[in-house]
Amino acid sequence: MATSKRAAKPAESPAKSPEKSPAKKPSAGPLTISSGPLGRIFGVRHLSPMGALQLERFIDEVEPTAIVIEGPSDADAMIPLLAHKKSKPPLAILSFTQARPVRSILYPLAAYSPEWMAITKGLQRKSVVRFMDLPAEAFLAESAAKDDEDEDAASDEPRTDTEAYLDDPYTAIARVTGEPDHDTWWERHFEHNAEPEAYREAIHEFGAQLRAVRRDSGKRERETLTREAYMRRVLREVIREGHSPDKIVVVCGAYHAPVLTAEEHAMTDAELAKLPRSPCTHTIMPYSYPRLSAQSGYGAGNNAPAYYQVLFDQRRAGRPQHAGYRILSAIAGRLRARGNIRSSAEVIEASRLAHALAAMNEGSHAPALRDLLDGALTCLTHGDQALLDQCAREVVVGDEIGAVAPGVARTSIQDDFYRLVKDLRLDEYLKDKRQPVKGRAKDGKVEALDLREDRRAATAASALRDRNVSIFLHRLCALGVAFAKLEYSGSDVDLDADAADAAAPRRWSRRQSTFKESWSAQWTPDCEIALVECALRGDTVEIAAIRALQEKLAQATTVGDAAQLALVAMQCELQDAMNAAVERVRELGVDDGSFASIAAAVRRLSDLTSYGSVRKVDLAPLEPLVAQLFLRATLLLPTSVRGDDAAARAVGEAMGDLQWGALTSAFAEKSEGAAVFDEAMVERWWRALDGVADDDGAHGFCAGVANALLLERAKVTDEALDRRVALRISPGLDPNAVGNYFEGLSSRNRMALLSRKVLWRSMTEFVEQLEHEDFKRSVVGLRRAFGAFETGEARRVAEILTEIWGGGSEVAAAITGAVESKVDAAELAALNDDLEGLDDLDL
Amino acid sequence: MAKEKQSESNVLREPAERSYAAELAAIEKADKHGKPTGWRLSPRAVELYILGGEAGGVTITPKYMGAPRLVQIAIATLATDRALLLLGEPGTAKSWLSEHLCAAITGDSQLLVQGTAGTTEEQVRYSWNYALLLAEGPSQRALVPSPVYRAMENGRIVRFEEITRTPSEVQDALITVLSEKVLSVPELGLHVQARRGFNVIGTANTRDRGVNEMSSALKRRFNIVVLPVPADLETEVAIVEKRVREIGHTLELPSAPPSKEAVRRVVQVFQELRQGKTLDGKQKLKSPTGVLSTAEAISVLGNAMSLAGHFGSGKIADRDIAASVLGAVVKEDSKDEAVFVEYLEGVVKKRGAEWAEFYKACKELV
Repeated sequence: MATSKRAAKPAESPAKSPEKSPAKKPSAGPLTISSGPLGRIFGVRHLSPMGALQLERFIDEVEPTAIVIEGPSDADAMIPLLAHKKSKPPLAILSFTQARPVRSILYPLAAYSPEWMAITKGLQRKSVVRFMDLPAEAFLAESAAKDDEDEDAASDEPRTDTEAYLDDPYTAIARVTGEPDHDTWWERHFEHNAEPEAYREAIHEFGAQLRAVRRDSGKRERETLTREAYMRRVLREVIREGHSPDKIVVVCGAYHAPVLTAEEHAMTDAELAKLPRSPCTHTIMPYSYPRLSAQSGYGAGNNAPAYYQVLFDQRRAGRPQHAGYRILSAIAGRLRARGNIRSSAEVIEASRLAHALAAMNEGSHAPALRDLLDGALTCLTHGDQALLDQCAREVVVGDEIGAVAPGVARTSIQDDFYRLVKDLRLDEYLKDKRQPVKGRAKDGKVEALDLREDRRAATAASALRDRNVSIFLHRLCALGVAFAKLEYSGSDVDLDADAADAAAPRRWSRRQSTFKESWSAQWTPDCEIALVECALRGDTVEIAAIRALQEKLAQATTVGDAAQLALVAMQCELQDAMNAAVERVRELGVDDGSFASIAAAVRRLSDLTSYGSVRKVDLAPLEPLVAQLFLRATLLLPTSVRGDDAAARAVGEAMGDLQWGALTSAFAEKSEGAAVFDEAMVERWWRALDGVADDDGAHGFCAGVANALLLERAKVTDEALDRRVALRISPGLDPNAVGNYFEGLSSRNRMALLSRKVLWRSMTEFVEQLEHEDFKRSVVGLRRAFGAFETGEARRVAEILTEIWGGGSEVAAAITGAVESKVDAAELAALNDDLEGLDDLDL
Repeated sequence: MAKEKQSESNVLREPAERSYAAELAAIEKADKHGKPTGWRLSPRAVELYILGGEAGGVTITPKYMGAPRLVQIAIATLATDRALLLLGEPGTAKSWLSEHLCAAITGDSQLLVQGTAGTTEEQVRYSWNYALLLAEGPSQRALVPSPVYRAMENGRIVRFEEITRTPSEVQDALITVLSEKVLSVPELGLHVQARRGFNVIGTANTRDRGVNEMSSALKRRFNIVVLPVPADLETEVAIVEKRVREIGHTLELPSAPPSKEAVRRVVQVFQELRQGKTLDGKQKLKSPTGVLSTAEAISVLGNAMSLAGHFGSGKIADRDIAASVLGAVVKEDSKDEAVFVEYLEGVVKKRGAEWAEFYKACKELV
């Protein structure tokens, strides 16, 4: 994650300008320069359309022989690739270390970046175009050192430059001017003012003041100074090569602009040699608008790339006022596509309101994005913010993806993949042929991975090799890279055939043992493509897997799905993703009013605990969640037991699951004393069960299960049980209801029932008084209930009945025979049809 | 002024322009920005009056807290010739805001049509003094102008409260008024043309949308601003505290205003249940079906003050609050009781000593 944060680096501070009037300063000479700026300096904010346009004009005016840009100077080779005819912005230069752990920096560029303008314009004019910032090699080495040095200090200092950039002075300015954020303030004051030189001059004032108030931590300050010294060195080199400072255009972040002068110290050879370096690879990758926008989680962008692109295009076409119209019309278009009728008159009203809002701000030239959106909110979506957000996101953020000319290097996720394959000794599987993955364990004839630590192994890496392979392969599955397939895991196979596809729901069994996994692998070109597609998700397999899981989580709609993702995250050993999944379970659980699905979630989450010892995942976050779901299920129980047969059956089974998941699983064991479920909560559950058992309106099956559950934990007195049984199984009741009740009652812990004579006596009385027709109806239900009995239990029933009925051994034998004959579901159905034939059944 | 105040001190509730006359005068004096025709103050000065601040040495109390940008949108709307429709859940200060906007812009918040199921077109347009009508036939003298009529004549703002409660044919009487800015009296061959400054502020309840949905032709003539329920604790606590103090004062309740902690606790319960999650965002909750508006939080505390004052120690205790809170939460649906119990057990109980009394008081009730 740290690596991606570094990505924010280049987008750093906005503009500020150099010296007062660089244009008029004469240069000292062709080879060296002793005073004044080291070129015609143009401070910019990265990703600023007006900056790009003004720069274009500036370059035309200066006619430079060299253009020097703030960018990693070891990536000069990327410049022609960027400007390649087949390349299409947004693009990013990606530099990543060749050694592990991989660290990377991204330099994103959009068509409206001043830097992009400088590159294309410069190459067009055949000027020299170079980068001048610290090489990425040094940058990455330094940032690595820094991270090692002070993990703690990092927390009180802003994590990214973008954060620093949004820090104090910026928000303060926005606050003072009554704007909600810096972006709006910036847009209002810089992006709409087309006066020649206004941009440079305003940015100069802004930048100079900024430098005066900026309070960076010592470390960051040192880093900035090093970079600036290096920039001056590069500029001096360019001058030495024969370019006159008057003919060098320097494009840099505003913050650096004032100090790129001859008076300031330039980095010496000795200092240069002292810079730490870690070898890097550079590549160009396609970037996308969503990722460029802050919404993608990367700070290196601005929040409305598509909007800025429209601003840039329209202004370049000479009709800046069209930008606002276009945005509003586009939003109206999106609304219409969603089936809302919006007239042009409403677009006009929105535009008028936006102008009126802009007019309430001093120094406004045109409505800013915020005014446009507020106008749209009021006139187009009639105050519906959620609807506007949906439509506006497509319009102001957009979904454009850049394209890279063919022949440019690998993405870093590919590098990471191949490095992992090598480290885990999986090279032999990189063939287009399916072969089993060999591991330490033997499972019959198949080799399998043993996830436990190998205590006899010589090195730490080999001790955990099997587990690391498993994690790696699980992560690839989560990414949708179909390299390996999980054949089965554990000894009790209970997975769907295509278990390797993480997107497909898996059936999971709690019996599953969890330390053996058997995989097969096959490498196809599709895998490579899938991997490249993952590049946009992150720079390493791990980061991309986290993101993939996050995306799936966002789409999960049921508690079950989310719990399943928690399981996948656990297999990938991604603690954060698992926590997020657990959080999602929590959210979905609140809106899920179904007792059965909540109980299922409790059950599934407690199944996760069976992994505890093998996987290094912390289960603590699950505990309060399970407790919360348990409470909510308890509260839902009384109203859930009154449904029809099908619903009641599901609820009854879920009741068992819930009690198991909450009170029998590892949670309950682990939590003794730790109060995952405090006593009051469990007590509430017993009371709810009591309520159901006593509730006449409750479905028979549920009432039966409630009694069985209470009986299992000895939470019901003999008298109460006898009373309830007598009430539920008594002559005159609907035979179906009695059958259901008996089935529920006998669904658990039948041994406890066997010793209760009152039950069997009630049953006898009930059966004896049945009319012929009713008897036939009840037989089906009773047979189903007895069908679940074990043979030994059935025998005991026979004995009890013999005793009650007072017959001799002949009767006993007949009963035993009848009870022991098992029936399956199909037979039951047939039985139902054949009720007539039951007359001769000798009961 | 002092005299006026004295003579009217028995009035239960003064209109905004009179209760805040001093502030309005101070703002008017200090106002240097351009004013739209017919406006007493400039848009910025109106904003200052609503959001609070300082003008010419006089402190301006905030009238509406929490969403400054919405206030800007509302004022900008009124500065164009578009009508303004304030939408929101019950108790989100729609009428309050519309009253103060009128008071600041035109100095008259009394031109009001209260929308009900029984509102007729005459109440929107004009009606007749029938005795005169029979005696003299149609004449100016016999005509009884509606608030809309008078606002048009004088270039004022008319408030139309609860617009969606009125039948749609009555609502539609507004369409010509809003688009043509003309109200015709065919009996007299008269066309009342709206003077500059005329506008309409409507309010409507989002919960009532289904009662008499506005026609899209009418809706199109309004700029719609949705007033939110306060999003953060501090804003809502400030609103509730201010209003509860004012209420206690006007109603002369024999009890001290609730402590800051009590207000905070009630508001926190309301916000958490309303938003369906705890304030720290760590736990999601189920929301009750009913509305839990700020206005209700205010009345819960007012009620508690009354209980404590008349039957208790004169100081608000948690038991006084608990009963009203429960009543506010469990209102329409008995399922809401389960929601409240889950909240009590899952959240309140774990909050420790500070909340223990409140928990106990609530527990006794459910």
